[in-house]
Amino acid sequence: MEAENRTLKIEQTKNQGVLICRLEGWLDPNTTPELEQALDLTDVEELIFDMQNVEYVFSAGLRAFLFFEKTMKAKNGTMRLIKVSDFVKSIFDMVGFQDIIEKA
Amino acid sequence: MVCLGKKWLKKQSLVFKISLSVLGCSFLGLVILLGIVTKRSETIIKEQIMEHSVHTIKASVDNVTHLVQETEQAVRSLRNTLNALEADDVEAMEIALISTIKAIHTSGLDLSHAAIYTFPAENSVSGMFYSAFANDDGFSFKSEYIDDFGEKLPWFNNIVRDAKIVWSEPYISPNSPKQSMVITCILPFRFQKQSTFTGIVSISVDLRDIQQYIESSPFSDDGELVLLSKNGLYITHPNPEINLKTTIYELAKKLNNPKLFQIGEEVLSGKSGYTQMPFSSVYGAPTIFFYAPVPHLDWGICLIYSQAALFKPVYDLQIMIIISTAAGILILLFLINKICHYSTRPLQSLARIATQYGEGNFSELVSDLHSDDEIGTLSAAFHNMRSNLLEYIAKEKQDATEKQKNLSELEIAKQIQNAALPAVFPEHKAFDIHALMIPARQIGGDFYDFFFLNKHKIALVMADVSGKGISAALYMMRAQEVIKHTAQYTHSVVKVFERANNILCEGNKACMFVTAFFAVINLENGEMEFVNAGHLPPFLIDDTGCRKITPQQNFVLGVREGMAYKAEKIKLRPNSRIFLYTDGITEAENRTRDFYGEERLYNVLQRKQATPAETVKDVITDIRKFTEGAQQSDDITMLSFLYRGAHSDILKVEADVTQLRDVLGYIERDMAQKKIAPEIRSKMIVIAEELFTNIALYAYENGGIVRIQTALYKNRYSVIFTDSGKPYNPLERQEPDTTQPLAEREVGGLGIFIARKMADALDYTYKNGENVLKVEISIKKDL
Repeated sequence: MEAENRTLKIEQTKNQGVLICRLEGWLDPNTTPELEQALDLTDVEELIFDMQNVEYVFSAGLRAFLFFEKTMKAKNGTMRLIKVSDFVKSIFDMVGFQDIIEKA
Repeated sequence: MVCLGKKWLKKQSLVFKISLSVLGCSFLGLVILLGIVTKRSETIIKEQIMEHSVHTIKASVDNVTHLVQETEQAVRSLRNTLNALEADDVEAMEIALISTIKAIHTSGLDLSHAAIYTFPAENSVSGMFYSAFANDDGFSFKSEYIDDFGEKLPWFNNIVRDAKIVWSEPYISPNSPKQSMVITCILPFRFQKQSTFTGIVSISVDLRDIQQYIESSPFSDDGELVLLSKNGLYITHPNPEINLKTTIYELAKKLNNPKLFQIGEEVLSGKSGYTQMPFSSVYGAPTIFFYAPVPHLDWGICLIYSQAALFKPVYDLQIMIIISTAAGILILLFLINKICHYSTRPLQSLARIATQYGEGNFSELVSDLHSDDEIGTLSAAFHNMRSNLLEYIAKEKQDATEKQKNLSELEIAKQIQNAALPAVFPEHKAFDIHALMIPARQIGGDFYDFFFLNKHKIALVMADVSGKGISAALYMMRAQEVIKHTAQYTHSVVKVFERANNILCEGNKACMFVTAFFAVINLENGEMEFVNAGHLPPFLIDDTGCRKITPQQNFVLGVREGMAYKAEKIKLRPNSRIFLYTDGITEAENRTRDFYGEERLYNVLQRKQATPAETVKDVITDIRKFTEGAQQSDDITMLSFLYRGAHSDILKVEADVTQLRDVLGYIERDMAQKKIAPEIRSKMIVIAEELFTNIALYAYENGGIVRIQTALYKNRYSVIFTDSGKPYNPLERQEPDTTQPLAEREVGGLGIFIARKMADALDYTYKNGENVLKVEISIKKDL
């Protein structure tokens, strides 16, 4: 189970300008570029990351979310993270990224 | 000058000096000989000359006297004849004159002539002069008138008055046929029956006759006879300029010779004698004058010898002596030269050989060993010197070689000793170790050692051999080997020491001994069994503090055979440190001879949680600071051992983000094993991820290794990242401003920020060329 967690699984669901991206695993410097390449943000007005199965978000992941948020803002879109675990949330809180996390 | 002469003489050869001495002595002898010979010869010759000249003078005087007497006799005889004649019997007078002439001619006065002068008659000035003389045809007679005869002969009146024979001074006779110089013997006469003198008779003697007489005298050619008239006129003088022209007084004046004047005076006043004259008109050279008076005439006669001619035999003798002596000296010098060269040839050869010896060439042997003279003795001494020198040189060479050997052997011994002490400190998950030995001299008697007895047991040794230097070092090597070797067969520390003691007692005649501490640590459970043979008790530093282990003391090793040793046991908790040392540390002295002491050591040890390498470095630094460069009097040896605990682990990975999963997995497993709460683990995972990523991205340009080491100590879990990349302190990165809107944030710096926020302690050091990043997290949930 651990070994599986070490990789990142990306599951995208696009519906009328809303892209829901379900992530599973770690967001580390190895996996984050995969995420950045995997997402096609054209015609996406709202980007939602389902963080339910994300165990750790490291700084690389934080930077990726930062990048997506900037991109979405540039085209007047929105980005939010849902089902964030308490631990991951604490990381976001720590660096002041809490405003991109959907308030429960 | 004398000094210069001495210097010069010193420079000359022996031969020269000997020759010079001989020459000098010979010369001195010659001078003395010549002096004596000359003096003696001169005396003899003078005596002979005196005798000879007395004889000669006497003979001459006799001759002249004889002549004078003959003449006077003839004059008297003529007077007597006339006295018997009648006046103016001219015929008789002629006969008388002729016979007189004949008579004196027979006595050898060939040139003389006789004369009769009759005074003029009263009232007349002309007297009658009759004269007879010899000529080539026989005898002639003539008679003539002569006016004023008395005026012509100034002594005439004296003759008449005294009626005695008078000799005239030499004068040129007008009657002499040859106008020669004569002296005239005059006597007055009176014819028969006359009361007054009627005239005079005279015989004039030609001086040439006298000269002939003188010359016929029996004297040698060595001298000249000179006659002086009554007035000092030279009558016979070899110089015609002087003869009959000058008186001795005039000549003395002319030559400014008072001595000559004096001679004249003396001889003409009837004295005889002799004197030396520096100059003579006769010889123009130094002369000797003998002189004597001639009676009847009141003349003087001088015999003059040339001194040169007189002493010619002496001079000849001198020259002969000089020549023969010089020849003798030359031959002597030649012989001396030969003899000296012959005698000093061995010396020269010795000198040459000595020079060769001096240059280190001993190949040539001294010859002439068997002569009994001084040279032989010297040669023998040289020969001995050569063999002694050779022996000495050989010995010196050997000594030098041995010294060199000893030096290099000492160096080798030092290397061997250094090699015997483990210098590589293994990396092990359960422990860390570091040690140091600084010998006081080149080679020391302290040693430390550590070795594995099996996979889980490590042995530590700290020992101090009594004494210092090479003997201590040798014994130390033996002790080290014996303990290590013995420990291979038994894990019982007691048995190790008991056996080692017995072995070390064997043949220990020097009574050396070892104080030693020996410990065996079980890395699985931290059990430490140890035995102490008279050594300083070690320090134990763990989470309860720093203290000395005070084990039961046992007797030192190597002195008493069969000693029993007692061991003790303690259990090391993870992260416990053992510090073993020798008294070289506590007894290190500063300049005022104070000891470093246990307290200072204690303070250094308990100051902080340090690795063994750090501990050793800290201690030695503190000692150096204390001693302030004072000379180290004893070996300084220490060993620091850190027991991490059985499960302490270490991971080595490539510094690459692809290793991230392995690294995090390893730490996660380690934390799980250590039963650390999941939420704590998550935090550490995040921290570790950030730190490792940071290292992987920045530490190396071309890749390298990162060591990851975890430990649990005092409720704190720590992870240490060590890399040998470029020095870089990630903690110095500026913290990102987390209050800014996300869109305005700079990307980067977040990772370290997160790690710092999450860690309870985060520490960076750079040492030994390595970046060491240590993170600690409290494992208590409530923190």
